[in-house]
Amino acid sequence: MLSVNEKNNVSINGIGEQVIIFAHGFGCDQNMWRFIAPEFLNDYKVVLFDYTGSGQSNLTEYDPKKYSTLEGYADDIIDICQTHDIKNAIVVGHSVSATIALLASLKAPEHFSTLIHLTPSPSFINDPPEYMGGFEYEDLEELLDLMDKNYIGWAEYLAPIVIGGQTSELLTGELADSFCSTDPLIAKNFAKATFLSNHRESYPKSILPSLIIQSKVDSLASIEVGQYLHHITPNSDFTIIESEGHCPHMTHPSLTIQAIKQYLLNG
Amino acid sequence: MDNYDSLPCGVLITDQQCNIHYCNEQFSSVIYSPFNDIVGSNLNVLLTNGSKILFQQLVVPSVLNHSPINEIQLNFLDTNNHKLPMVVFAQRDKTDNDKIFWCCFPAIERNKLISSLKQSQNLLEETNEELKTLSKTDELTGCYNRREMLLKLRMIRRQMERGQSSFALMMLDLDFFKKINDGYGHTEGDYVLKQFAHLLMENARFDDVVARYGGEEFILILPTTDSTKVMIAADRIHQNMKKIRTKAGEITVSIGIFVAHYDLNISDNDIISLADKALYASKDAGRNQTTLHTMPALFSEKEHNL
Repeated sequence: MLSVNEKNNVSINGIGEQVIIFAHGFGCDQNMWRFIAPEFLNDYKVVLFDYTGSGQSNLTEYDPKKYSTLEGYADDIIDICQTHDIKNAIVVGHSVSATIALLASLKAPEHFSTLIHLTPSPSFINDPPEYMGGFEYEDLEELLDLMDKNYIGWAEYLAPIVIGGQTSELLTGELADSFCSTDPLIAKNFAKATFLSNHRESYPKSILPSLIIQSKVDSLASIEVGQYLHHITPNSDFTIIESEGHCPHMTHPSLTIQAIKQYLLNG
Repeated sequence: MDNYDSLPCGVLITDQQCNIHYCNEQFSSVIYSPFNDIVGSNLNVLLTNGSKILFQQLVVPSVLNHSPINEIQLNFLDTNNHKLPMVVFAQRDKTDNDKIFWCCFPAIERNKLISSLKQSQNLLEETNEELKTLSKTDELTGCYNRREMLLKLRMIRRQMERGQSSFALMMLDLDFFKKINDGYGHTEGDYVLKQFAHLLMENARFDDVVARYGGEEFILILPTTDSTKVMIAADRIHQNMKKIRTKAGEITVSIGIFVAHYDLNISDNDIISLADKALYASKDAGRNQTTLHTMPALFSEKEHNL
């Protein structure tokens, strides 16, 4: 058995008592937080990690069935909390990770105190008239088809790694240079769990105080989606930041930091 | 702004929020849209919905992280709302953080090629599944063939060892089958065999193994089964034989059973030949009946032979 630290490439830094966990979204890894995390090191214990199948996580224990649902990824967060005896953590989850963190808090509430949802969406699929996730089912099929189409490019890039079999060292070395690359089949599994799932029924069960941060312009998670979430999530706050795109933590880090810190100070 | 009109690919220059500041002639001509409409808009709006997700979740974060994007296929929408697949390369300017270069190559043929490759891959996987099924199955009757039965027998013995339980191997032979083949032809013979296999499979439990051993001989393996249970199963088969319709009238079956304890230390072939011996005992005693051998019988037989 691998340790959780090896499995999820966990890093813990900072001098505070309070733990803050940053959870990356689909497609990338903990490097997404590189403009944000350093700003919390003086006041918090900052936990960064890669989901199994992403970034520099170790793939030897990758179980396609477990990671075909968001609950599997939620278990990654819970495992990290259990290993490091983390209590009352704040979790900042980007995009699909907002839902993953919520699922973790519902399953093992003892580890968490506050959830920050950054550009979240409980479901990408339109369900008119009451919900518009932004996409039709055909759009998501097109996405999966595109992932197949880009498979060949990735496979070529990853061939030496894949052929190697048990290649955790190789993976660590090679993938370090390829920010968002990962095994294409694993990426597709994550994409299905992310984009074809519907967690609109999970948010009303939320038991922790939470902040929903939405970008002013975001074609993946619109302001309407944010408002809907705010409406169905008990004890939630909602804020819109002046940013464009789905990754404000990369494009507008200072606005993102400001929104998170302001909520944590006032909360 | 530099001029890239003579380059053989579409070129866009955007800021880090993907607002387009420059578009070359090539790009504007492939998506049939004038410069003025493209410059000032956001790259995101030129994409199909499915592509937007890949773009926002994978391409943009990578580029912002200074990782170059190589050969990512995205689908654009031209002004007539037609989907145009393009292969995109992108890189953030090394000196000016707020500048991203995008090279876009129409990829209509590549898209077709990869679609057909993907189709072939799916077809291969399906064919592979079919072949796997075929290699296990007896073509005429649809039950397992002899090879698969032997594999299953080995597996069941291991399971029985772990669970410390007994199992039964039943050998069945249709009585006077040769008469049907000789008197009414092979088509009629095959029809009877099919009906018999169907009857066995219909009455089998989920983890029982039904196999054609050869000719008119079949084997039934019943995991976690003792002598009492297997005799009930055999009786049911004798009763159900009435359902089989043949031009020669009713047909009966002779059955030989060997019940093996989990720790029995003999080979798989020995187990089969012990059931076969029991079957011949049934034949010798006048057919249309069941003979059951268990371990004590085996030992007494051995003692007898000594």
